[in-house]
Amino acid sequence: MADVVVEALGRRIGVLEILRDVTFRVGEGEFVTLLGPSGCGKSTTLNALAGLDRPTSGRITMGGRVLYDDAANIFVDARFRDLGLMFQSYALWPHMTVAQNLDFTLEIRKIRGEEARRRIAETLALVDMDTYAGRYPGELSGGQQQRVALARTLVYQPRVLLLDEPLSNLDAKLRDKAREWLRDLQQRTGVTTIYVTHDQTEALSLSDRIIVMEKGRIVQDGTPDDVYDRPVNPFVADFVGASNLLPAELTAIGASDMRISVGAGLAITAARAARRLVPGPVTLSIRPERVEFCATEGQAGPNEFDVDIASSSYQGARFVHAFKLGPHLLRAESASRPATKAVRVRLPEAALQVFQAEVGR
Amino acid sequence: MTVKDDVSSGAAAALPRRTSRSQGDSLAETAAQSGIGLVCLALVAIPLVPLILQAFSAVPLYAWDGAFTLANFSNLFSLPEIPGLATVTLVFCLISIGFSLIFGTVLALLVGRTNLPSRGFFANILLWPIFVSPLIIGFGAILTYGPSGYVSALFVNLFGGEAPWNIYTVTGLSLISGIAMVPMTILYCLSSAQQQDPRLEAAARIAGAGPLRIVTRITLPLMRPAIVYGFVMNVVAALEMFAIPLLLGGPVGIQLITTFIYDKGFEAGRPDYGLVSAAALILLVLVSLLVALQHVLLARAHRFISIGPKGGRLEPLDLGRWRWPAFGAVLLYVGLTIGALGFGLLLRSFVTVLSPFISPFEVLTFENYRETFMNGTYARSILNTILLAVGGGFLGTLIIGALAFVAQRSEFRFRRLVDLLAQLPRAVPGLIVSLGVFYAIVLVPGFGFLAGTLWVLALAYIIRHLPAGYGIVAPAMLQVTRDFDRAARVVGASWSQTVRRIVAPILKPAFLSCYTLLVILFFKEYAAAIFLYRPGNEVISMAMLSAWVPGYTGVVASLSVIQIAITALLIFIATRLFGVKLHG
Repeated sequence: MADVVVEALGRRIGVLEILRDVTFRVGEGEFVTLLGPSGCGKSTTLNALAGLDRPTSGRITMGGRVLYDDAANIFVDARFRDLGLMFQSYALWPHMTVAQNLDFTLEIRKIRGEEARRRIAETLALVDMDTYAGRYPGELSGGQQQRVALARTLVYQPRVLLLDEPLSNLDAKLRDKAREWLRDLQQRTGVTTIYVTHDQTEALSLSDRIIVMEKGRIVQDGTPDDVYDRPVNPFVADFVGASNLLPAELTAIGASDMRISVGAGLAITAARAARRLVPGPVTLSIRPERVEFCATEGQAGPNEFDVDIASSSYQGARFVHAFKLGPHLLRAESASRPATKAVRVRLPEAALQVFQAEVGR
Repeated sequence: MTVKDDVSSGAAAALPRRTSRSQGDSLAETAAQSGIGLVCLALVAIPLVPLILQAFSAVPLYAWDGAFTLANFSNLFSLPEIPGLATVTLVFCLISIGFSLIFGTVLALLVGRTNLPSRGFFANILLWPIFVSPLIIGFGAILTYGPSGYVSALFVNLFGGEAPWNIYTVTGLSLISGIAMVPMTILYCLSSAQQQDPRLEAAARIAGAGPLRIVTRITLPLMRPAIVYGFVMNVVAALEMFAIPLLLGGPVGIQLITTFIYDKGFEAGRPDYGLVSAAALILLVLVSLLVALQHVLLARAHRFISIGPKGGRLEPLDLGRWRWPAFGAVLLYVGLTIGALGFGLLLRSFVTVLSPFISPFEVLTFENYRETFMNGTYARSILNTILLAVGGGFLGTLIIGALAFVAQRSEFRFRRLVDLLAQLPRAVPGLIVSLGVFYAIVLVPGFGFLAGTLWVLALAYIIRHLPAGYGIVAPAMLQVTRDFDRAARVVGASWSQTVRRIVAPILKPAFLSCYTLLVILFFKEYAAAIFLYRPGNEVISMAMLSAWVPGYTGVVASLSVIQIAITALLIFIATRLFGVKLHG
């Protein structure tokens, strides 16, 4: 087991800057996820960690050993890094049986005979694939291939485990099961794990920490709670659990709350944000599941609005509604179907996130 | 199937007036498809049926009384030269195939998977022998490494004594044939090496494997289907190999099964057709068995096909300090084979005599080319070859396209059979096609007028190369989703409309590739013409052979250069102007 330290990592191809000043640390035994949309640089970061791609600046150390240092011109090739990488496509060698796939990695480390057989049996048992040792990868289902691929990366006990979207080729139901199983396995083996995905559900449920990336940079590094409840900008708010984002105007900042105008004479009160804000254009964000429906009798309270539901869609466990608030179209979720089209919604103060609008954004 | 049925019944219910029209359509469709199916059957039957009948008939087929006999086979096996013939053929196969497989695989790996300097250039030049007739390689080898070849003379001059090689031996002609067969191995292995999922090697690298171990444990084993396929095709090519054994073995009396058939077929006086057919049938069975074997060997293909989506760039393997030595080795191979042979032919075509001791400028002449273009026979052979390649290739592409549409894209009852038949001639050597077509035009009443025309050659060439063209069009057609067809049928298109307006335009690149391949193959074909040649329909290869016998070496060299030059021009047009990819 080892910790991983990445400092000021950069990667350019010609004038194109794929990675910019990527810095993070992964503690021993920690499960950290690199989360972002495709093209955000998360796979480039993973390939740099694996030694499959040489970055252009920065430094990578693993368990105190320098794997890459631009200043000292050090680059350790993938084969000498002693880590495990599980590919999105699994990359199981199709001409070898399940057992041979595992054995090949042990052969390279000169682990032979009884010890090799014991390790293969143990690792296959760990992933519940011990009865499939003699099968070829082409004879396995997607979920079984995924488990064999993981076994192959674990059997030689690498210092760090890298996982590149390992669940993306599984269907939705299998993915849920595999996720729980993966989390359980990581906790049992305690191996330092870096996980790359664009799926926020995977990131939130698996990780000790999430690193959100956008356009080759890290935008937020925090626990799943941090990232979900306290996103640092509208991008994170929208990418991790879709949010309603609406352009608004910050008109006044009080001691504990703020007044925000969303147009059409509508004003909203939000809890005072920890981050520094100045009056002017802002982006207001609220998650659909945090919008509350309340009784339509009497006078509307603060942050309560009478609106008409424009459309509703049934999604099994819940309903998703669209309604107009002034000029903005918002989404809200509810567990049951409202009796009428005319409803009253409340936007709770604590559920509102306010971000200063960036110039040119 | 269901979609189509639903639609036609739905349409019938809603619009009863249209029923008769759609029934008429489907009748016409079935008629067209049956016609195409029959053409396919005829193409395959023409060379095979007369041959098989003749093999079991005691008398020539034109006087056949309907009786069957095995006498031809017992006569064949009682010939005193048979044990020697079998041994020589076996030794020839072993050496030529071994040479082709070893050099082909190593060269394909170096060129396709490593950071060898100028590998793109090598990839192109190494494949060149596949585009020219083995006849030309034979001539080139004699001019270069023959007893009075310029390299042999140079060697003798430098080191004294005698050249330590003699190409007029079984080993010599096997190695020269091997040179002609290497590009085929490269072609199969190259695309296999380049199409591998790069992540399979990356996974081995992550697991700690070095380059040598990656090649021997991952890359090569994954190339096994290509190597097995290449092996079988090499055996087929070796058994069919005719020109080089004829040129190098003929003068010293070395006989292989093909040259034996040729000699017996052309024997002075009355050729023993029964004996020739029996030998040809044995060759046919041997080759068919090999083709079948290859199907069995590759049945469990899933063990070699990478699983899951592909992607990622294929990083070349780093040769490290072996980069330049490898470059030198490949350069040496190219120089000693393709370079030396091509250079010898080119130089010889411009001089009166080729020798390292006489400056080529002293004996420089355009006489060879003047002779070639002025002599009616030679000039006609060039024109005939171009006509056959361009016209016959076009005809062939049309036929192949029609067969593929029926086999892959119709509800024709016998479409599986059409698919099988179209691939069958792969197991029929060119010499046998030639013999079969020869029998067919002699025996089938009303076909005699074809004798000695270009049409009969076009027929033989199309039969011979049907599987090659079909092998390009059919897989391409399989890759086009049937949803396009279904969408067209749903909006009411007929089968022929669907084929002409939807599928054919999508497949344009495949048809262009098929046409290019047929043109190149027709241009270099010689074995399929050998029994069908008469004064008037001669092709370049035949003209070269007849010029070689009386010793017009200069004319042979200039014809070779012309053939190579025209092929190069055709390839240039196809690849640059039409964007055809010849490999990969």
